[in-house]
Amino acid sequence: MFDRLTFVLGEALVSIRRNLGMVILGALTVAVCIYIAGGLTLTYLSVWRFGQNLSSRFEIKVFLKDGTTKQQISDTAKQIRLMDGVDEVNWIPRDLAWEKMKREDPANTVGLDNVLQDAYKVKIKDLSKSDAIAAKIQALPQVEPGGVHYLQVIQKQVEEALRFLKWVGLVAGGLLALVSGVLIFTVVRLTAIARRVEIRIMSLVGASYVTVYMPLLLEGAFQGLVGGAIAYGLISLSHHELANVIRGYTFVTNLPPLDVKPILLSCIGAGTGYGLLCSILALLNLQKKIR
Amino acid sequence: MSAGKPYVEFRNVSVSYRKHAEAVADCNLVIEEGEFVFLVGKTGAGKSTLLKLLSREVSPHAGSVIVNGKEINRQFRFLIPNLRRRMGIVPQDFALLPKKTVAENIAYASRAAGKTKRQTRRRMAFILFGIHLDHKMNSFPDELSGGEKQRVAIGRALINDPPLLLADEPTGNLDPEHSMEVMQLLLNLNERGTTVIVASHDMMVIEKLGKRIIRLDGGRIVSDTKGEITYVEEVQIDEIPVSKDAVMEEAAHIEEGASEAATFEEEPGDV
Ligand SMILES: Nc1ncnc2c1ncn2[C@@H]1O[C@H](COP(=O)(O)OP(=O)(O)O)[C@@H](O)[C@H]1O
Ligand SMILES: [Mg+2]
Repeated sequence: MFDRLTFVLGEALVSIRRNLGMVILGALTVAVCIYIAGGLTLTYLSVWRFGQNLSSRFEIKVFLKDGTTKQQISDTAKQIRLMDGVDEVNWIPRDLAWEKMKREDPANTVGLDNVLQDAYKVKIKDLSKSDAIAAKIQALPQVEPGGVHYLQVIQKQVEEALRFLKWVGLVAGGLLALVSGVLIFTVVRLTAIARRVEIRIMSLVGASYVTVYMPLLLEGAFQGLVGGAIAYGLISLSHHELANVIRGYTFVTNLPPLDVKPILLSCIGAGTGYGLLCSILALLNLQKKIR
Repeated sequence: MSAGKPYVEFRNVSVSYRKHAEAVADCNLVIEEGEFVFLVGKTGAGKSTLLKLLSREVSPHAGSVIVNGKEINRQFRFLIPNLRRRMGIVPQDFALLPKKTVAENIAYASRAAGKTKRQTRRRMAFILFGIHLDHKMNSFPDELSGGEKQRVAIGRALINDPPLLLADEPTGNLDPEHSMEVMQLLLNLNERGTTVIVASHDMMVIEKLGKRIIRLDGGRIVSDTKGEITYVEEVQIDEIPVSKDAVMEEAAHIEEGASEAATFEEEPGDV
C-alpha cells in the first residue's frame, strides 16, 4: 500500500516538475479565481447578514380603516398571517395605543378623543418578499389606503447591493473559473500526451487504472490545492489591510476577525475539488486522443 | 510441457474496423499450452488484430476469444489489467522510455504493474540475465542495437512471469543476425513452458525453426502447418549468416536454457 503510494506520488511529482511553468500558471489562476469569488462571497454574506438583521427588527405597520370591527380585525390578521414570508402579525388596539400616547405626550392629547386607528405590526421573515407582502396587504379591504408603512428605501438598497454582488460574482467568478479550468484541463492533457508512452507501457503490463490515472488526477488536484492556499493567503492579507484602514475611522465599527479555519478549509477544498474535476474531464475519452 | 491443453482459443471470431471490411473473418483457432506459434501473412492480413484480441486492445464483433478457459471478450472492462498481468506483450515499436536505462525501463514497468520495490529488485537480475543484457543494464535505449532494444522489450514483458507471451513482429526491423538472436530468446522462454505467439513475416527465419505456422490472408486462416524441421540442428544454425562466435554463444545460451529454467522456478512467485 505504502509502496504503491510512493510510486503514484513519484509519478505525479515527475509530471508536475516537467510542466512546472504551466502548473504554476494554473495554480495562480485558481488562486485569483477563488480570491475574487471568495472575496465576493464574503462581502455578499456580510451584506446579506446586514439585511437579515434589518428585517428581524423590521416591521411593516398597517393601519386599518375607521370603524373596523373586532371580527374584521381578527379575520384580516389571519389573512396576513397566511401570506408567504410573514413571520408574525400583532394587533395594536387603538385604545391601548391611545393610552400609551396620552402617557407619553400628555400635552398634545389632553382633552381629545381617540384619533388613532387600529393597526398591525407585521414582522417579515424574508426581506426580498416585503414588497409583495406590502402590496398584498394594501389590497385587503379593511386596510386604510396608503396605510402600509415600511422602510422601503434601505431594503431596496440592500437588495440592489445583493443583486449587484451576485451578478459580479457570477460573471467575474464564472469567467475566471473558466480560464483556470481550461488551464488545468490543458496541463493534464499535455501531461497525458507527454506521457503517452508511459501510459501505453503501463496499460500493456496490466497496471491498475489507479496507478495509470491517479498521478494525472493528483497533478490537477495539486494545482487547485496550491491555488486555494494562495487565495487564502490573499484573502487574509486583504482582510488585515482593510482592518487596519477601518481602525483609522473611529466612527465605523471595526472589522470582525476572520474565521480562519472555515475559510482556509473552503478555499483549499474548493481549489482541490475544482482541480480534480478539471483533470477528470481531461481524462475522459483520453484514450481516443493519445492513440 | 506441451500438455495438449487448449490455452488460447478463437471461436468464429470476426473483427471489422470499418463496415464491409473485415480485419479478421470468422477465425477458428486453438493454441495449446506450451506451444510456439507463428502468425504469418502480408501486411494487413490481420496478424496484429489477432494478437490485440488476446490483450483486449480490440474487441471482436462476433465470436468469442478464450484464454485459459475464460471468455475474455465477455469480461468486464475493469478486468483488463488483470488479464494483461497474465500475459507478456511485446509491441512492435519496443516502446522504451528514452530517458531511462535498460534496468530502469524494466523496473518502471514492474513498479507500474504493481510490484513492490523489493519484488522488482529481486526479479530484475533474473530478467536481465534471461535477455542476456546484464552487462548493458545501465545503457540507455539510444546506445543499444535494434535487437538489444527488442530484447529489453521482451524482458519488460516478463515482469509478471506470464504464462503467455505475445510478440508483434519482434524482428520486423532487424537484420537476420539480430532476428535470430531475438527468436532464440523467445524459443528459450517457450522451452521453459511459456506459450508464445509471434506475428511475423520474416519467413527466412521462421521456416528454419520448425514451429507451427499459421498463415493469414485477408483476415482468414489459409494454412496451419507444423514444419518438420526441428531446431538446434547444427545445419540450421550454420545456415544463418552469423559469425562463428555468435553461433557458439547462441549454442551456449541454449545449453543454459535448462538451468536457467530451474532458477526461474526456484524464484518464489510474487505475491
Ligand atoms: N485501428 C484500425 N482502424 C482501421 N483499420 C484497421 C485498424 N487496425 C487495423 N486495421 C485494418 O485491419 C486489417 C488488418 O490489420 P492488422 O491486423 O494490423 O494486420 P497485420 O498486423 O497483419 O499487418 C488491415 O486491413 C488494416 O488496414
Ligand atoms: Mg501488424
